[in-house]
Amino acid sequence: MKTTLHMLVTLVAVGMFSGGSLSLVNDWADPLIQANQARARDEAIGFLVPGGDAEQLVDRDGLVAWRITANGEVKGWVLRHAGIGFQDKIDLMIALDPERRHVCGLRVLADSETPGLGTWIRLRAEHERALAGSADRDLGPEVDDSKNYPLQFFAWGGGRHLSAAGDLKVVKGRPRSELGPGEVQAITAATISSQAVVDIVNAAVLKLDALLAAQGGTL
Amino acid sequence: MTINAEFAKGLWEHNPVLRQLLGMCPVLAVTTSAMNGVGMGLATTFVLTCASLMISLLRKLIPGQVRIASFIVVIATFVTIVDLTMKAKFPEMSQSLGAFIPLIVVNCVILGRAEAFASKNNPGRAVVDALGMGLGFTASLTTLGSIRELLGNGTLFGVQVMPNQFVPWIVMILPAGAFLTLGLMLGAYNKFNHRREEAALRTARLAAAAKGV
Repeated sequence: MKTTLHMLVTLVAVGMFSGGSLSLVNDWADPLIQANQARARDEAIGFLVPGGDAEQLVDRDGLVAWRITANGEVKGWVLRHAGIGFQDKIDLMIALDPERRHVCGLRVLADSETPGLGTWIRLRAEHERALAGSADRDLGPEVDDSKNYPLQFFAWGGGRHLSAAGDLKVVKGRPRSELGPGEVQAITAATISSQAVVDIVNAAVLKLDALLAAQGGTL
Repeated sequence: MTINAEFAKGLWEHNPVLRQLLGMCPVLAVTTSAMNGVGMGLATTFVLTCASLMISLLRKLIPGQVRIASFIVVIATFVTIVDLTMKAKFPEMSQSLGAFIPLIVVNCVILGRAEAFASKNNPGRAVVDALGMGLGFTASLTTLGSIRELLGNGTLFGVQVMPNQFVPWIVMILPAGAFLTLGLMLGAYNKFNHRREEAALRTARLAAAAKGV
């Protein structure tokens, strides 16, 4: 009886120490984490559709959508949608053209994919810098290789864009030059993450279309 | 064992990666770059040191039957603190290391040192042992990450080092590169230690022979 009580008291004390410490640290860290996330979101919008004002029009069913306008003209759309990746949620920002016919960009806000494998879904820093300085968002065919998965969601190799009709699918073993507007080349050793990104993009554009249709095309 | 020797044993003699082969999951998975190796190593060192200190302080109060459960709760607490701190202060590093920060909780280096050392020694020795083991772990991860980044990407800590003509060996950033590099590092470590032991043995034999004469 004495031993059992000792064990119980020990576990309760350790649990209380743990809970108390985490509560204190969370109180300190949470506002900073929220601010980091808001900054990352705003930076992503500015990167995906630069030079405009973002107006949030949708925040429903896990989809957040901004319409980006400049001088009264629609410059594009940015959607935020999340889905399950290899082991946890992938939080994506997706850019669409003003008519919502093409996907014009992609940025991963958060993921827990395997470093060195699934993390290839993120745009590499040098390509991000190059895209930020490219007016037509097209780095040309010279970067057309299998290690530039996220570049496929921008214009690549002569201004070709991916479809924003919710019909994207992942293909394997074919060179990028032979792919159609609804086909995305899978990343070597990260097919599940590639498929997850495509599923999230498809779900986001279909969800936005459904919301717009339900409201007679206006928001 | 002196305090200095206690610290130094984790750096080389009982290095957790090269000698004990512990914590292989983060060793192989996150070392795609030198910076990832440093970040993962320091995060692990922090958890190892704090958990060892706490477990050593509580060692006479925790009953043997619930010691592992208590150790895990203490370790998980410090891992969550590291995870939250990195998300708040180093979001890019946190993003880069992904799921491997929360997974420090199951890193066998930490529970191993808690069970084998911290729960049997005073807080001072436990902290020194944890610091030595943590820094040995960090050094191994940084070396592995540096080799893989250099050959797989041509850079070191993000700075271009290899000439422009160098074609990166993509395999080095893939899992196969981690196994190959770790295997070569372990071979070099064992070879060096073997030679050192042989030299020490030769010296001892010579000394014994000289005494005999």
